[in-house]
Amino acid sequence: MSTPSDEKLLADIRLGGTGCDRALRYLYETHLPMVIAYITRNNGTREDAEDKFQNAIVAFYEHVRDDLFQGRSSVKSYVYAIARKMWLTELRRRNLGEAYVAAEMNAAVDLPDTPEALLLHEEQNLTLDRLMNRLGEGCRTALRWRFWHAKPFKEVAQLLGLKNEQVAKNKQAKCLETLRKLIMSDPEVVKVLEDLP
Amino acid sequence: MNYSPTDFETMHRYLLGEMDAAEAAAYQGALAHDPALNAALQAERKVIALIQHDARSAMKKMLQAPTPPKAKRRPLMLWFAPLVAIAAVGLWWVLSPGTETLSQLADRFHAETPYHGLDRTSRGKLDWPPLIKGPQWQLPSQIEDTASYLNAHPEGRSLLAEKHLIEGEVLLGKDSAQAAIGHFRDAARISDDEDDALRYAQFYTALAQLKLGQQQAAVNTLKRLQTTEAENLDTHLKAQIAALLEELE
Repeated sequence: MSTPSDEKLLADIRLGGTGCDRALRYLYETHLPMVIAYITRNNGTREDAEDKFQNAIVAFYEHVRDDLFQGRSSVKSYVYAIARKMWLTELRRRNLGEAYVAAEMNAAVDLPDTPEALLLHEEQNLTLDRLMNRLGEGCRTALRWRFWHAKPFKEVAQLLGLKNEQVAKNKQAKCLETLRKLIMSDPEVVKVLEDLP
Repeated sequence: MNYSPTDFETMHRYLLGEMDAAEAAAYQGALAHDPALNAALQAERKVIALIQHDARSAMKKMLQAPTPPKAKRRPLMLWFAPLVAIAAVGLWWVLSPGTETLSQLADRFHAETPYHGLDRTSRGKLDWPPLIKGPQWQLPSQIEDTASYLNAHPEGRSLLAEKHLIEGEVLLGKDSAQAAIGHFRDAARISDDEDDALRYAQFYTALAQLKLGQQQAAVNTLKRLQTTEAENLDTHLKAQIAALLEELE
């Protein structure tokens, strides 16, 4: 496979769909070894590196979607910097002060100004996943396109193969109503959501 | 301007930053003076945070999934090349897509990909649909007119979706692909998300597009189906989509 340019990767990510998935997977698979090397040198494991780099790719996607990525550095440097910042935050959380200092010394790239990632404990994640599983994949996909990928209804309709944007609106309204009822019927989920930042 | 706490469409546009500055300022003003609106907004913000959490998890799963290896065609040729080659070339000549028109390809995949709601023989004999023919059911000529009825009678939804799926399949078999697409579209529109008819309708739409010679449109339909329904596809349909895409690409 030839190496795609940053411009090509960014264009595919902005377009959404399978091209976006392919571009993000390319970034993940190509640059993961670099992140593993950094994190395993700094008190982490390979699993830590994979988890943090997945979070970094997700954050990178959000930066591109929200036009926060200005292209002042290469995509490679940028995703590495996000992963590194996330790992430094993790070391702070684990109270590994000395390791934190060492990891900062080992870093080679300036940090971008990134918003903090949403951090939830594993147990809370499982509670939320259990609830969303009850919603059904069709609804989950439709809601993701609108509320995370931030696509307008017209595009959502095209991506879901629906007739027009009114059908997409109706589907979203129905799915949201179901989701609200599911939330209200589960006190544990209500509690987790109350604790969200 | 008054904003209702149940006007979620406006609320979402505010939360997603889709309002212009003046509208956003007016909405913020309303929030400051209307506790009910403010409470509704905070609750909806949590719902959206949940959806966004779910989307991030889905993307992480996508990144973790191993890249599927490219399927190798006829690997036996590698082992028995000298003897099998001649026979294989002959077989390939008969079966390969190069000797098969798009319409024949669509027919082959249609035959290999039956919708499992009912077997074809039973479906052909079925008096469609019993609910619609009952005293309370009158099938409107325009499918849009059925929307309110289906909302009140959700039990009829899957049945009606399957009716359209089958009518589309019959038309597909008669090479009336354009008319078939209309039925598949209606089947997909009526189906519930949990209903397999939704996904088969999209697959059959791709076959109808092939019959119309619209190869790229069929590829787009199949890829969209792979993406949007990835976790809902049954094993056979998933394999058939991948096989057909391989044939087309």
